[in-house]
Amino acid sequence: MRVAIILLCALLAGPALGQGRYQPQGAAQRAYLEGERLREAGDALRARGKADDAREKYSEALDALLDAHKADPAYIDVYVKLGVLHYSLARHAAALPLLEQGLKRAGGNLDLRFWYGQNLLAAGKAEQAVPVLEQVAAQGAERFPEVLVVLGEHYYGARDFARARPALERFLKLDPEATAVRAKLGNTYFKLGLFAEALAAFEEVQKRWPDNIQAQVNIGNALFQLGRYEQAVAVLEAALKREPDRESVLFNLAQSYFKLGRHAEAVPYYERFVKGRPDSFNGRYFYGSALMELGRDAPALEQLGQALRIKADIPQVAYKMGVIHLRGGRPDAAQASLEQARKGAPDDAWILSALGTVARQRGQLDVALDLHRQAAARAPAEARLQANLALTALRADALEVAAPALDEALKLDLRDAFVRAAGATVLAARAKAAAAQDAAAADKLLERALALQPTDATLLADRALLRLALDDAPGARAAAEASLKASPDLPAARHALGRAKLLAGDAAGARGDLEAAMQAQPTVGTALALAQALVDGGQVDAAVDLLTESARSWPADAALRQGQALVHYARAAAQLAGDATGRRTAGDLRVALEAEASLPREAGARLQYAAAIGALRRGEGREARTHLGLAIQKGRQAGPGLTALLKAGTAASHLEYLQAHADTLVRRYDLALEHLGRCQAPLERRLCKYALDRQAQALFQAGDLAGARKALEDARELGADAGVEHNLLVIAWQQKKGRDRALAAWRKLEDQVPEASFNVGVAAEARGDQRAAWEAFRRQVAAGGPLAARAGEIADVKNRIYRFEEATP
Amino acid sequence: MRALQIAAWLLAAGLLTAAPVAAQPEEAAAPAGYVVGVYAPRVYFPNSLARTSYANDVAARLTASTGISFSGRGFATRGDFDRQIQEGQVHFAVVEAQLQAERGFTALAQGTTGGATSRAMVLVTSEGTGPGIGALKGRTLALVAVGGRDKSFVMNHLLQGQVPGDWFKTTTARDVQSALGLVKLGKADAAFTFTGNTDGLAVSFQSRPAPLPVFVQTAKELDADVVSKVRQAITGVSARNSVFDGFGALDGAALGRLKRDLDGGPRAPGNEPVFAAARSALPPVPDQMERGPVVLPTPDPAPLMGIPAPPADAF
Repeated sequence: MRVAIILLCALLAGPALGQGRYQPQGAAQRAYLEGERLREAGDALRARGKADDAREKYSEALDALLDAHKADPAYIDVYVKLGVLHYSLARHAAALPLLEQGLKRAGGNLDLRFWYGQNLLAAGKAEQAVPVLEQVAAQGAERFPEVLVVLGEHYYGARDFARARPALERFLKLDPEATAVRAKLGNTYFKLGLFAEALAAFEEVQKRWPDNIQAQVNIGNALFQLGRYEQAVAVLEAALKREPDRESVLFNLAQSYFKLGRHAEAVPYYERFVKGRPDSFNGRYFYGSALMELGRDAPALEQLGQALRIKADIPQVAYKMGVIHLRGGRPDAAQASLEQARKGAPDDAWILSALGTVARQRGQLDVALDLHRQAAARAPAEARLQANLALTALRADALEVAAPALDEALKLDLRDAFVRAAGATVLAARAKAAAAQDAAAADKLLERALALQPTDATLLADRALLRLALDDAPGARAAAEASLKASPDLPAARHALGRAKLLAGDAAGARGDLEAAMQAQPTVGTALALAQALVDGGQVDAAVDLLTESARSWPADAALRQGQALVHYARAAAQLAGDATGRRTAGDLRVALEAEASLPREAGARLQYAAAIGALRRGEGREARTHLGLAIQKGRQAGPGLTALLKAGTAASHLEYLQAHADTLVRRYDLALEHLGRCQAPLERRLCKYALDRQAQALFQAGDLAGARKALEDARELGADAGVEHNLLVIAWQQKKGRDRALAAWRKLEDQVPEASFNVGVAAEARGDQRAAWEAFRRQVAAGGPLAARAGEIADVKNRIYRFEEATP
Repeated sequence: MRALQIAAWLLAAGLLTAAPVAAQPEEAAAPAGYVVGVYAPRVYFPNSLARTSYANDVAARLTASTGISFSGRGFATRGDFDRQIQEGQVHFAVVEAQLQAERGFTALAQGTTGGATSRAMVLVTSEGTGPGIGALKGRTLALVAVGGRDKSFVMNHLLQGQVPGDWFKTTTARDVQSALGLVKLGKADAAFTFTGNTDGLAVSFQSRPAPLPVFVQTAKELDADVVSKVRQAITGVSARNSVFDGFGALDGAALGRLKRDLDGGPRAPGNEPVFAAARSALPPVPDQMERGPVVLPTPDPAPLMGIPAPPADAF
């Protein structure tokens, strides 16, 4: 460049001289011409490659021109030639006072200014040189286009690419064929991050210099920077064939493969690169990163460790090492690396997030949640960080945090696989949480999850369960079948399919699925559903057995207890018709009653009614009264009342009859008779008779003879009865009425009333007829009557006193 | 000859010496420690000496068993017995079960014979009396004086209320040997005695077993330890007399029955008619409930729902 500028300037100096603007002294003119001749000779020698000879000629030319300057100090062209020769001989400092003299005489002379600027720049006085040269460029770039190259080179070298760019661009406008300058401009663009412009410049250079390897490399690098990795790979692979060990090509090729995710292909190039450049941080770092992506954790840690030794203050290296430890299940090592990374970048969101994940792995959920929150706050636009926060919040049961974080993550990047998977997890958890309260809301959340993971078997099974809760049997079945298609053994799906069949009335089909679900994963819900299938299929005993067995596993489960009560009731109710004594159904009713409070009111009313019937048949009046009262109460609470639950055609007085029955059993005959009223229906008449008989007996024993008589007379109205007649005579006897008739009357009743013979004895005794009395008591004994023991004792003592047997033939 | 025999018998029975003996308690020695009295007029002792000897025998056995000093004292009359109890001179006693029932002494044990706590009594009659109680209507019964309800004992307990209260005339005897003497002397027509003590008289009637005498605490304020030791020791004591041969546990049922028979005086003969038990059967209990559908609880979907596993950590 220096030579070109000198030649160019020498040519330009000619016309100025020829224009005749100044007439020098003769001696000066001669010395000037001699100097010019010698300078041209030097140029010719240099053009032939004889640099030393050229320098000798330039030195002679300088002497001649110094003579010219002495002869005529006002001769301006001499100053110009002195600037050129000093520059050529690299005697920049010596040139400067001469050129300054010249500029005092002709300050507007662009030639002088140009060479003054050039020599200043070459003398290391850039600060003085650049304004001078910029002035030249501004006033005469067309005449001195090289000044643009000089400035461009200067700025480029000073890494002031922004100022180099316009200088070079202006020059190339003036000289589009200047390929080297274009190559420099391409580099300038590259340095400025204008990769498209750089690529265009390098492609232009390559057109002119097709074999230039540097241009090819630069094109590859520009393509890489533009993200056109496939093209970059093609260009750089080609370049590498030409220069297999060119480091920049090896590195950029590896990077291109890395960027393409073709880590396995990147690794050999990185390996070759670091072989040549073992101290390259980038080489080690990206090599380790590629190995990390390939899951080759040990060599990755080795390369990253090397990188860390080269540059300990780059946090990304320790971060990656921490991540490798984290996924390798080494939380302590992970934490150590990540903490190291955090020192270098305390606010780095990814490092914070990774530390949060370490805490999460350790079960320190509060710490994890805090770190993931910090990470998401520092980089709110990073979908993965938001998703990670959501996962940690979910783990910490903080759905109120998980939900918005996940929504944000999905908003930021719906395509990221991690985000989608996290979304499915969190949305499914939210659906599960909402299911008990609002199945429809849960269903909507689940649909969102399924939009992210449409074939996930668990989500499909969940959908089936929610469809069941929404009474959508076909929907449940379809979802369950889809789930089972994806995962044939998923118990929840099998459960849902069974229940869907059950809802459709296919109890037998449902049973198979529910049994399979129960076997794979026993749950209360499945046990209840299977029991329902068994009941619907008429296998109540099996349902009872199933729920009894299940209750051993889940003794405190309320739904199970309720189910148990219902199946026991169902079995008792089915057997009650044939259980005259109430003993056979007692066990089932007892179990059912244990959970009666948890039953729906109508079912509770039915159960209490059945319990009352059983108790009445067992003769347990107190229990029967309680159950009957509760049955009536619950029937009323259920709405229509207990009578509405009875069979069609049941007598209106049925419940009164049952109450009377219970009253009778607890010996409240007065209440029983009150309930029974007029004793009209056949059963009621029988119960009235029973109550009156007992009431009479009780009153008699209490000494209320009038009351006893009244009860017996009422009983007699319900039908003739020898016992009633017998007892009316007993009362009369006690009242000392009609004793004379009693003996004969009781004698007549002996065949019908077992106690009658005893009373015959009493009556005979009262008459003083000890023998007749003795015989009557003996008849009581012989008949095995209810008073046989007592009668026997009396007869015995009478016999010992009166010796009837001795007198009896 | 017969007069001599009768005199000898009376002498043996103590009748002839009853008055002077009754004036003094039958003591074998000065009282030492606790006193066990014997007042059981229905138990046949041939004489006062035999009764005292029996009392000493019981006392000696108690002393041997408990290590506490006891002495025995026989009583021929209730007056002496009551007086000495009142004076605190008698601490324990063997008394008729009737007397225990009447007086409410604390019973500690009951006389036993062959292991039984009761023994039948027989109504013995003098020669020439017809068979059975029917033949004794209006005749004289020698009634052993035990307590205040001697007639109730006979009419209610022994004759079980089957004989009218006015069936017999009665005369009182101090003890059974006196009553039997009266029958033999013709001064009475009949008397009750425990089986085995009929002394040759004809048996007209045998009662159901009657409770044997009981061993009681007669002094109220005694050392509880002493009472406890006596209670424990007396049930193992074997001391034979004409009616029983030792002591055993109380027969509460028999004593209760005796007490009921003693209450209220002699009952009028005869029984009361009984009220025939009600025999009508309870009618059936119809089950009129319409069977509703069995709807088991619908499982809550939430516990069955799953959550897909979270994705592997990504960075």
